[in-house]
Amino acid sequence: MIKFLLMVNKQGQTRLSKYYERVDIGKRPFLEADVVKGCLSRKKEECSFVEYKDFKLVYRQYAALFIVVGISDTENELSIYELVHNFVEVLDKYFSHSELDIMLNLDKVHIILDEMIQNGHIVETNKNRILAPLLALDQMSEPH
Amino acid sequence: MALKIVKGSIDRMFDKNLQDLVRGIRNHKEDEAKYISTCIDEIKQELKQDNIAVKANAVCKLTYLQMLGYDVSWAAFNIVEVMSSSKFTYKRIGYLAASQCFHESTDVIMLTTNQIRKDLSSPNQYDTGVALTGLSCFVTPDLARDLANDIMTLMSHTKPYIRKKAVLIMYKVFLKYPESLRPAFPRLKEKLEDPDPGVQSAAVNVICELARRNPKNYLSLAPLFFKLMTSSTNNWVLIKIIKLFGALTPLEPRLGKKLIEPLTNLIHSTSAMSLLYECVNTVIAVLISLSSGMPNHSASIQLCVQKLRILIEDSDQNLKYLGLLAMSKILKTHPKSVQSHKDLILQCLDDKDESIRLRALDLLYGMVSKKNLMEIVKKLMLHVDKAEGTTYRDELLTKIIDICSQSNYQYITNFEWYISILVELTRLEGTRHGHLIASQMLDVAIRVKAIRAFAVAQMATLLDNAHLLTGNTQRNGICEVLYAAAWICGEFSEHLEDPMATLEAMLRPKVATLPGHIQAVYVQNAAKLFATVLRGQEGVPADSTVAQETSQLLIDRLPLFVQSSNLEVQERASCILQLVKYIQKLQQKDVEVAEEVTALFAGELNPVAPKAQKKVPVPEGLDLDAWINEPPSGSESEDEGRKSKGKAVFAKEESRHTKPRYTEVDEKELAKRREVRKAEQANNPFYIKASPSSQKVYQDGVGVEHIPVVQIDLSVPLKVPGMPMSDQYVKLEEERREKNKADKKKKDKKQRREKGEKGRRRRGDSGPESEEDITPAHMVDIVTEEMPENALPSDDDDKDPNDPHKALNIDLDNLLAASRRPLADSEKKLPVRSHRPDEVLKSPMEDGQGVEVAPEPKKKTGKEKKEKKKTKDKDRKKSKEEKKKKKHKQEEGEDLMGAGSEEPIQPEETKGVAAPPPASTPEASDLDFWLSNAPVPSNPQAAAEAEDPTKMVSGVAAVAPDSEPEEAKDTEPEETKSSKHKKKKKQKKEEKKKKHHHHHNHSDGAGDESVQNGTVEEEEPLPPMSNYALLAENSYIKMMKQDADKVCDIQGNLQDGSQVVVSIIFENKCDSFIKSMEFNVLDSLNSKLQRPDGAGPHDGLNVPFQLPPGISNEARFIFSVQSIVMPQKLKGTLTFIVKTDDSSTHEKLDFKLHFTCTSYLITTPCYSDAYSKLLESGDLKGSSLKLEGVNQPFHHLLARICFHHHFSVVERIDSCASMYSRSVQGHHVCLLVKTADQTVSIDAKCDEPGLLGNVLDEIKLTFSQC
Repeated sequence: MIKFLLMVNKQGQTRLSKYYERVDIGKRPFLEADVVKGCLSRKKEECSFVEYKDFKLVYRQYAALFIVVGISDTENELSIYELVHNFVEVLDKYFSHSELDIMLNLDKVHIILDEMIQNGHIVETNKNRILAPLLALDQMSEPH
Repeated sequence: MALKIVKGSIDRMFDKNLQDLVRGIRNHKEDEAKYISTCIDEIKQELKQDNIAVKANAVCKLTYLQMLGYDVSWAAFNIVEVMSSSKFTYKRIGYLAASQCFHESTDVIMLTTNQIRKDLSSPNQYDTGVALTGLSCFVTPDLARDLANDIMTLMSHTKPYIRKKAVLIMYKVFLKYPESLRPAFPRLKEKLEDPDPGVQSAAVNVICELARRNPKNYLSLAPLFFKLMTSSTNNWVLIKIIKLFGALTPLEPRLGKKLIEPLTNLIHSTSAMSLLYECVNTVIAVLISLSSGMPNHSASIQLCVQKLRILIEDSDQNLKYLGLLAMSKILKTHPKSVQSHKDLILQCLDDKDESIRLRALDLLYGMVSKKNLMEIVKKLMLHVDKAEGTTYRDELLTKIIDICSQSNYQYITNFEWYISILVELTRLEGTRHGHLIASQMLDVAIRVKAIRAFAVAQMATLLDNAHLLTGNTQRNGICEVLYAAAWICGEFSEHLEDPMATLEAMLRPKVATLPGHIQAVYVQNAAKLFATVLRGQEGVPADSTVAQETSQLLIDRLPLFVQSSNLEVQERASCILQLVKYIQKLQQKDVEVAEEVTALFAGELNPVAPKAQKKVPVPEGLDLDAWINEPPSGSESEDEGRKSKGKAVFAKEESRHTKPRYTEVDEKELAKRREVRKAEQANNPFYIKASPSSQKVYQDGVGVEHIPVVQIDLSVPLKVPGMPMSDQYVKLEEERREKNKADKKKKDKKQRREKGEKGRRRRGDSGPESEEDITPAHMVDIVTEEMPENALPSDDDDKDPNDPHKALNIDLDNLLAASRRPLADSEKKLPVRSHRPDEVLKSPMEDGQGVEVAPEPKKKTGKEKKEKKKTKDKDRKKSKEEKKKKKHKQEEGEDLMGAGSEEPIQPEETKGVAAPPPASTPEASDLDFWLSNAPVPSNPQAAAEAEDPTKMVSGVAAVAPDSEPEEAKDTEPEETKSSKHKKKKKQKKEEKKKKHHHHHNHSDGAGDESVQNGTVEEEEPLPPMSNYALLAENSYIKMMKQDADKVCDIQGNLQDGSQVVVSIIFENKCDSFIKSMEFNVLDSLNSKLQRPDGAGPHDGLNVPFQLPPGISNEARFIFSVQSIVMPQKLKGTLTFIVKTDDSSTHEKLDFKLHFTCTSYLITTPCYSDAYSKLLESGDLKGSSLKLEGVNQPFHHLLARICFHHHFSVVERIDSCASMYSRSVQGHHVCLLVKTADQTVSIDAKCDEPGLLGNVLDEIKLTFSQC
């Protein structure tokens, strides 16, 4: 299962975090820093899977932004790798996808993410279905 | 003016939204913390306002700050406030904040229950959606319990979006509130076939996750998932399902066989790497569980290995990594397949990516053989030298040791080489694994007796070069090696060439910089060396000076250790120092002391199993927790020390000094010293510490568990001058092997003798054949480790008691059966099965009433039955159990069929006939059947059916495993038990004649067997009952009609009629091929054969198969019937072509189909109170029947009525039973059967007198025939 999903920039600042397995709020910054360190230090020619403690990290880099997913060892690494890309494509479709967009529209990114992953499992990958509630929401708020 | 300021500040507060906050933080990089704390103050102000918009804005900002790691739990109540806003935009913010910040112990969650319930039932689907999503993040057991009912209702919502979300959240609900699984599961299962793909995949998701944790409860879903797997195109869903199958196959190997083909197809066809990878992984898992070799499986393994090779060769590092990862799974079971790719794997060792190198290292573990071990290790040693990072180097080091020591040093042919490797590894600086090397040294030196002399020499050199090791201060883990070196030199000092020199090396001042526990070993072993030196000198009286010099050396050097801050060192040193001083005195008087000194260290080490202590059974009457003497306060540490002593392995080395001076110090001092000693013990290798981590360190060292007795026949000189280089041994080993080969013939005789002995030992049994030629230079003999007598068997249970999924281990096959018992209060809230609109099986009263009423009576009868059961004979007991089982099955069947297909229940026959053992419960046999058939049926009709696994399942048990799936559809599961039985016999006979199958389905041996095993004769057997009656027969063909026609009611589709399904077995009796069979019936007004659209009313129906000689097959024909009150006879003709080698002739066979009234009855269970209500209602008209001269046991009688006439027993008391059945058109038929003195009287009631009369006539006929 997916334990958490992080979006961090190259400076190691968390831009989005979502935990599917409870981690104490106090411990999160530490875990995030550690995880990010593990991924940022890797070179381009190294594979995108990192064994970290008793689980695995799958990460992908998009310009200055890293997306890191912590998964248990029963999860299919490649499918998570593809999921990350899928996620980014959805973000791209909705935003122009820059780091700032994500920071400023954190709630919307969360909506997207909630459509795609729930209970730590991939639940939806169809872009239109993922974006449907968000678009409905936008329509709802437009009249104001 | 003042107003303006206030207004301005309010404006500012309003203005600062999330975006401002984000920008603000960016602009205050220097004093971020300060900026945020002012922001938090502002937020606190905002939260105090009544305006919900302001609050929502504040909560939104808090969510962001929470992500940055700030604690916002203080705002939990405000979050709840925002959640309950009526405006969706705010509500959403509240839920988002809650999902990010709340957890189980957040107490305000209690307040949210009603709000969430309100949102769940909101008309706005996005309100509901956001509540469901949020709930999945913070659901607590309480919330789950309170809301389970609401969420379950949402699973049938009209909007797919809500259905999907509800299905997903159910998973969390199950985890938190396991009781909800049982009632919710049927509905969840329905969602697997939801028209909306999103809902469907959500259901797959949830069930797969549930099933992977408790696979055995979900085996019966395998056919359904199999269908989904072959039909789904969503790769993500496919991955889930395939993963699930991976979890199921270990429980049902036949499933594995069935899976191989579609999986290999997928492997060939898919372009999605993730799917390919999953398939390969699952095929591997399947093959592992199918360990018994099917020859064609090697092809599958080859395919996997090939595909993996492609992945590994890919330039994409990710694929390379995963390829290696999967390869290591194959390695465990099929090492040979992997070994052929050694080149590739060695190549990966040079990869620039460390992760990949590590994975390649894992694989190496399985690639070694006696032949190539040295070569591989040599390569690894090169890598050790080249390695940059210490982590990778440490990994290499452990891998080298793992590889060499695996399976009890199985692949090591030359231990000198191994010792040299270990010694070479000590050159590594800064490694954490010094203790690992040390433990290996100890292990080898202790267990391989023949190597001791060599090992001791090497260790002596190490000790002499100790400055190299200590140079890097205590933090350097490698100095642990000295621990082993000193111990080996001391313990086996008789092998030392120059003990004096070693002794000197061990007492150098620099030793005092080593960690305490190592110093302690030094001191202790110096004493051992001292003893050896003395003994060596004793024989030469002239030269007593050497002995005295040795004593002097000790007396000079030991004071250094006496001053040690380490208590252990101090204690030992001072003790030994006094001893030596005393010896010196004796020496000066020329007293011979060597013998006495040696006696201090006499004794051989015995192997003790690591678990030995744990396994000592506690003697009866001994309470280990009870105090022997009431403890003085604070004596725990003392006690702990004692305990740990008991565990120490090298018992003779324990220091047991109890110093008298301790007795006189006061309590405080005592406590202090105790602390010191505790710390001391923590560093002492001979105490096993309480903390598991430190214990682990020495477990290996102590892991002399398999202390061997070594037989050695050295053909190689042990000594190599100078520092040992493992390479030299490689060379020597090669020479030795050459020599061995040459000597082989000579030795042949000798070896044969040796082999006899070897029978007892494990040795090199899995190596390739070529290795047989390599005889190891030394052999490690495995002595069974010492275990206490009557040791307890191992009972290690690795299951995590905290696993939330444990509670979800619920047998769902029995689920509906169980749901009939009265529900617990909490369960009652959950609507049980009320969602099932077209229930096929209904108790007569159930039609009108709520479902919840039904369970109660059921339980009552169940209890009564139970009571009775005790008094009944064994035979009956069995049949009761059968009945229970059948009940599950009924429901199972019903469940799987969903709405409206045929009705699979007529299980009563099992009562009397052969009762299958528990192993072949209906579910199992369903699965058995499914598993025993090929996935792809042979003709289109069958294919169509195969695509609908629900149908297949409902009919599964119906057909003997060797017949074809097209008939599978809807014969009755239990019924087939007997028909199967019968067909079996026939089949067997015929199979002797010719073993041919015109359908390609491979009849599965296992399936056959299980059926045969399933029919266990009872003590008092009933004459076998068959419901197949001969219909017509000629010299070519025999037609058997199923006497008790399968009746199926499709109330919804046909208003005024019913359908009757007739199953007919066609058996080819001649030696020719029979084909083009056409079945035709002359319709009557009342009964018509259902023909395909467009066919005329007199057209025949093609029988969908051909019959090779000696083969029988079954076909089904559907008739529509208007009135069921009267029995019917229909004339029919079967035409067919008999084809011989040279000619073919048209033939025909006339027959008469007899539809009895019984055939319109459906076995329907009925509860006794419903039954009595029915009788009381007064709608029924009575009739009765008397049968004379029936001398059958009563239960046989009942079984016959049940079997032939489709009744079920409602209640039975002694020789009186009430029975019930229902016609396809809803007529109730009740019987009261009594027996006395060979007379059976049946009082019957029915709301249709005509039907009743005919049924009674038929019952009479049945009994007159037997």
